[in-house]
Amino acid sequence: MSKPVNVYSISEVSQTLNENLPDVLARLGYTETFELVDQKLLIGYSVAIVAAVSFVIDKQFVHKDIVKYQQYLVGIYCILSVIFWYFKKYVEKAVVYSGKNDTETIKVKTSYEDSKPLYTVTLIDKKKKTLVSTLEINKVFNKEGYLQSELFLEWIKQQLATLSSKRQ
Amino acid sequence: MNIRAELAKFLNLCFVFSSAYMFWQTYSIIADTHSPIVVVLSGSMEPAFQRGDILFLWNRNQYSKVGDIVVYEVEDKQIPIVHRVLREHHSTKNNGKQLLLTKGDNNAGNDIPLYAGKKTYLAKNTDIVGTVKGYFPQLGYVTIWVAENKYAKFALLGFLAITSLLGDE
Repeated sequence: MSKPVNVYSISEVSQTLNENLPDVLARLGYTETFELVDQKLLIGYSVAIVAAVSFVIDKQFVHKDIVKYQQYLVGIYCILSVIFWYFKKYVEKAVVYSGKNDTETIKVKTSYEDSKPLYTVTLIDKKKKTLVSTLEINKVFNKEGYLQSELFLEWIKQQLATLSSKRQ
Repeated sequence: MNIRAELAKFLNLCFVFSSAYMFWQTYSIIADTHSPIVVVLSGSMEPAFQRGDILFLWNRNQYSKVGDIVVYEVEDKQIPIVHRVLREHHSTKNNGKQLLLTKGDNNAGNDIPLYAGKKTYLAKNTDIVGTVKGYFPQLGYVTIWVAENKYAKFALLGFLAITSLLGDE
């Protein structure tokens, strides 16, 4: 059984729903793909490795002997940081799930507004058709704060069916 | 355990340390000094600077002026000293070498007893770490606490690690 969450905290509720999305979509026949996550991790760890190399050579050598190398490393770090920021803001763009089944691919973005008990889901298929739906959280959470997984699954299934009918 | 989620959390931790370090390294390159930010450890420059003040340095000036507050390092001593330039001599020939005599505002005499190897002057291009261009009061007490308390460093690192691992992305 899942842990109860504070239903008055929309950020906690949203995080719980995001964490349950992979299971729900797996039950609906989708297999999660991790391309975006892997690319983000690759860029992010490249940034960290450049900083680590700079730190190590700073400890091993006299500063004035390695200034040129530090300049290159700082330059590479800045470029990679900009790439990482661009990736997060424009490529990943709040995508919480990417997956596919035999016939289609799906991306799911979610968002919420503070002080509003609404969870907004954006579904995007491989042809870039989009469906934006809003879920009232009291429809899938009971008053004790437990997520009713079956209700959430039914709602997601309904949204996928609506997206599918939009394509036709 | 979701390995990607754990890697993403660990990446957050890496970013905390790497961004702070690279900011310091970038400032070091721009200011042309190996130590662009120092903490005042003694009261020798009171009332201008108090123990715990953070000083921001600049080392791209060719000559220091009398009255400038400079940071210098003495051979074989790790702790840099922050004092005011009392006297200077420079030549426009011979690569513009400059010699400086310094003194702490709150000290009775000049710094000649502090210089290594019976030197009576500091050489600007080899001994001076940088000239003080700005300061922030008292924030350096965290550094002093970490330096003087052997468990404080681990406590601070542990606190940073826990907040970045438990925090949202």
